[in-house]
Amino acid sequence: MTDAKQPQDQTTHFGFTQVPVNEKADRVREVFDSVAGKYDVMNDLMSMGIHRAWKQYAIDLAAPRAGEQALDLAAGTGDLTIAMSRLVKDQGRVVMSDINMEMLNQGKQRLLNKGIVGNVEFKQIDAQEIPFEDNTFDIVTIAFGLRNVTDKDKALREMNRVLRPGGRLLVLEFSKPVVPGLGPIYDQYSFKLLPLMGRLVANDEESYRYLAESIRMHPDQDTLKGMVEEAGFGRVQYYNLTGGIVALHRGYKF
Amino acid sequence: MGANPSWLEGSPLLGAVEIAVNRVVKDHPEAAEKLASLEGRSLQLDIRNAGIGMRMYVASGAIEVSLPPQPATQQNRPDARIEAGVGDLMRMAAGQSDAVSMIASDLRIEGNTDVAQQFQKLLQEAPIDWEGQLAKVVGDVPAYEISQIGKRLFGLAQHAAKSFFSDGTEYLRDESQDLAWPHEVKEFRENVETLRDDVARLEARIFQLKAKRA
Ligand SMILES: C[S@@+](CC[C@H](N)C(=O)[O-])C[C@H]1O[C@@H](n2cnc3c(N)ncnc32)[C@H](O)[C@@H]1O
Repeated sequence: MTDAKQPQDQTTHFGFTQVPVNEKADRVREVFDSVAGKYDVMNDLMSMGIHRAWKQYAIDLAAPRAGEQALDLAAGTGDLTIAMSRLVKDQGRVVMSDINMEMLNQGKQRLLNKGIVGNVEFKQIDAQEIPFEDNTFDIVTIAFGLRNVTDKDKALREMNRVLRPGGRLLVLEFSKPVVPGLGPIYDQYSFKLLPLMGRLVANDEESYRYLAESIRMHPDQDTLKGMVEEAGFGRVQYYNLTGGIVALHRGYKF
Repeated sequence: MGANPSWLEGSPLLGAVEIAVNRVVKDHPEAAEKLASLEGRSLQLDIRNAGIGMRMYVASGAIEVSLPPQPATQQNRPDARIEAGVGDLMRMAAGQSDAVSMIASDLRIEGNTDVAQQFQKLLQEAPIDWEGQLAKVVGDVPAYEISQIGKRLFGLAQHAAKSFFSDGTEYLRDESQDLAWPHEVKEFRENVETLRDDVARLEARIFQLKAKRA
């Protein structure tokens, strides 16, 4: 995925390492290619299963209703898609998408195994260029995906564009711990434990080091809130989960 | 004016309140009907001296709970605002809406009173499982935040009870003999105590759940 308007010598951060913008998308893809198979196991280990509670909270606050149209960006193996497809029922639709075909196939297989068919579509989508018309969806979700997107502002504007007026955006992402004392523990956890677990479980320490670093580079709660507002959303609010290790941001298209 | 909301900024409790109300609305047609009549309306609830202020907004048949917008402007004014002391909330929670509690009440309503009353009825009458809902998000509510809320409510409950019995009762007895029946005062005192115990029990339960998760 290359962006023609992007000068060659421009760099962006890949974790803490500066890499050319063009290269970032490829490297992000490599990372997820290499962990796709173990992703679910890693996900559970990484957050000791708490990520299920985080996702449930996100779904509860998205509150999908029967007949609604939802777009799940960076869907990975599809946890949010699964939950939403049950709630929008047969008369609704969920588009499960990811930039990475490998991930998307994993997710598709997982949904088929669970017997979830009929109201889910699968589509390879880059969050920065969403191939849907304006005012298409009632809900757009992106869970643990925004930090991997190179141009977050552009992606947020795209999310705004494809939402209907009154539609809602939910961004679930790692953030800045707000509980005093949690910061240092979390640093230890993300910098030492994550890569270690990456090596043990996914046989890929480098990939998980990248994850840990990209988590740290992600904008904090208030910064992201500002970005979501800047992209055109109103009534933007965030909810710190597990002491701010993760934050859920919600905004409405006017 | 509105209570300083800073300590609620980013709190998952705001979401928990929203989820609790919407769950009831989903399962109870009467509540859904009440909510439908409030479509597009907003209410701000400020709890005096507790730093709790929240905005409720009804859209597409669901309630949305957020912090009051900052800064408050003419454009983002709610349709109605209820400012309540903790004592009012306790009376509301205890389902008291008789003459005694009305007179003792320091509830203040601004804006569209019709809207305010509809919201009030909804929150009062809907069988909302606050405790269950809180317990669900508890893994995500930091312990210090819970204890802060517990302490605030506990402290305010004590304060409210004290001032009610010292000034309130006397006022009622002297001014209008026939309003403050001793048995009503006793009942109210019991309600206060029940609520205080509920808060303590909830706090204990939350710590238990936290410990289990840790
Ligand atoms: C950590 S996974 C999250 C998966 C899932 N949403 C979850 O919460 O379990 C991040 C996903 O973001 C995808 N991704 C990275 N950059 C993206 C982009 N620009 N557009 C869409 N998806 C992207 C990756 O392929 C990966 O599957």
